[in-house]
Amino acid sequence: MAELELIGVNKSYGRVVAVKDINLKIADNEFFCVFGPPSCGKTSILRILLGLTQPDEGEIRINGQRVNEQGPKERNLAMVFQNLALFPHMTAGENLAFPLVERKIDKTEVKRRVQAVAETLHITKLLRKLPAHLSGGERQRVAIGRALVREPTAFLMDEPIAALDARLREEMRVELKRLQRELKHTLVYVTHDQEEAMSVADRMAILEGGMIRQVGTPDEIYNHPQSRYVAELIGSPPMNFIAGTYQPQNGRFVASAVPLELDLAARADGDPCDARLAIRPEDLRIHEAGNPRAALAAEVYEVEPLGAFTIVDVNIGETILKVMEPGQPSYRLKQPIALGITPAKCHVFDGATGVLLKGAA
Amino acid sequence: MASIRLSSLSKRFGQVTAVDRLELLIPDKEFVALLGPSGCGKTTTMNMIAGIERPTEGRILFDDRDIQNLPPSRRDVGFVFQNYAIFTHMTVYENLAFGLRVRKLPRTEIDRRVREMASLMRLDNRLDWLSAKLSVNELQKVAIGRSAITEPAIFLLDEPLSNLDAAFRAFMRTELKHLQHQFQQTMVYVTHDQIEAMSLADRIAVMNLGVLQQYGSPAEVYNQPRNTFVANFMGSPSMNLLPCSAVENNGVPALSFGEVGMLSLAQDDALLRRFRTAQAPSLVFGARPEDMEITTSDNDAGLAATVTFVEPIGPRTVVHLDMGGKTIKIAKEKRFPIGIGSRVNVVPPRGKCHLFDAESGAALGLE
Repeated sequence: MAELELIGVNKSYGRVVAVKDINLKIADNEFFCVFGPPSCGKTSILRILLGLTQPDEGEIRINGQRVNEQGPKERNLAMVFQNLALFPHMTAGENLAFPLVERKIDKTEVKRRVQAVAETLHITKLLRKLPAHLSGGERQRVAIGRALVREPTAFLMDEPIAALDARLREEMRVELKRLQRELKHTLVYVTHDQEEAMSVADRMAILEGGMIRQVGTPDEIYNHPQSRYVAELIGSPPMNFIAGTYQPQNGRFVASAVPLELDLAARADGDPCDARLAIRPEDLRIHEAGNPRAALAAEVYEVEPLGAFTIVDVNIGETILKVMEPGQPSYRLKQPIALGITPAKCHVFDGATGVLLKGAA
Repeated sequence: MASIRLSSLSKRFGQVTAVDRLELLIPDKEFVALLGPSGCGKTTTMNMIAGIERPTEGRILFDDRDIQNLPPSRRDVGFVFQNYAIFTHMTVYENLAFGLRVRKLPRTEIDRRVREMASLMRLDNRLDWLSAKLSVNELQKVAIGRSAITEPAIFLLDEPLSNLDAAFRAFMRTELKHLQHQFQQTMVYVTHDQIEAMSLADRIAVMNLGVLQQYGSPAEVYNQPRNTFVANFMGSPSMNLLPCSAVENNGVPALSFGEVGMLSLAQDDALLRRFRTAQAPSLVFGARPEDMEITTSDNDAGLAATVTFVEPIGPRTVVHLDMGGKTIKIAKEKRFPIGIGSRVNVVPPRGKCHLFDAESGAALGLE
């Protein structure tokens, strides 16, 4: 049971800014992902929450109480690391008991708590096994169990499954999500894998250079990115961008390198400015060449069949756009096509600042 | 230009057989991916083609010429590794020119080819930069460009994209494929990533534990897997594989899934044809996540399942279901409004189902 809060948190190491102006409220029982590229401040946020790093400024609250002055032990947040760090010479049961034995807790109490945690995690049958004889998923359960016996207020995880191969990662993240739902604990989860974050998070924060760029549900982040940075980072294949000029007063976007003019049905104050039109690969449509309803004439540049869907790279002169189509359509290279763009699906970002000028419907 | 023939090629390290009697013909100008999990023998195979490893048995032929005794330097093979080897004290220009200077080409020719390659790799505005100042993404472009510029007959790439970030990987996949279409070199590409293999290759050789599992176009390997290993390895999420047994239901052939339900084959000629070739009653039924349908109506053509998890992943939603203790996945375009705990019927796709022998894992009734 824990609500975690960071208010106006800053931390620098000399002239290097680790995190800046962090305001974040993580609700009780929430699966919250902290997402961003390497060294964007993700791990610093975890360390500040844990009490391993003191912020230069700002307040840390757990359940509304200021905890800046408390050490990691008093805050009682459990950390699960990337490599899980189980003792290989101890059985799963001994690994679970370790934090309690270390604290010199009474033997019968240790036994009771290990049993209770093992039942919660469905690993009772594994207690006598060595980690080497457990599957990846089972090991993860034991590692989480070892944190759970301490009865922590909340869990923090730093890329706990990043080292596994792709197929196993897909299974483990579902397992983690299920576990978090069963345990009803707050979980703060750091990852640099956007698909992983999208898949498990109730809400997520996206970081850039130590600052939070956007906080929201995976749906909000995917469908309504507030900056070009977020739009670029989330989604695979990545978002397409077309350079041009946006006229806020009549809602028109005029592309510079391709013959495209779109009426985005929006009106706002402001002068015409350099801008980027952004549209997701699955929101572009390929029509037969010459289709009068299509926005752009283009050519097939490359075709990437992926089985369940196909990525068609099309080019309009030098500009290459990615289109994602379901199934296994067939195209030939250099085939002329027409590209359909739905204005309602388009975002417009400021060319210089990357700030959202006009969002998708 | 060269074709590559691997004939009964084996490599053993002590007791371990890394590659086991591999037969493979890589036609001239084709892009072939060697795909499999770690330890499948893909890198060992590539090293034998390059001349870095010596085969224990078998032969390697380039254009029907045995190259057994040719050292790596005389095989006319270009190499790009996961860990690009770039001279960091040289500029991009010097790195690109290096292979041509070693070959003592005329200066004007070198200049022309370097600029051509730079433009192709979109490194035009980086030519004067010291390589040490480049990003990881740019470094890999230089590494590929530097190898491609000497126009080797055969181009070998070992996981060249695995250190790059996701967005750039997607971009480089396209560029690499485009490069190959322009150069028309024979390319052999080692990867453990089925998405890379599917999107890049003309043909994929799927390997496991040193043994070739299937060799075919991406569509063949994806749509007609020869065994359960290939079925499971290709695709994300992977194919749903469900143990079942062959039965008769009121005189109609059917597949029984125990308590989950029964699938009559009366409506599916393709599946029935596969079914008829079965040698034993123990089978494995296969269907791809994107081909299966979910209904909430009582439909006896379907199998009973309970929704356990819903994953929204960008453009797709993956629904996880429990079917008699086994997890199956169904992928849908866009958002799919269904609650966890919902009891539903899963309807397999007519004409798109697979059937395997439970014991050998071999596909039944493949043409």
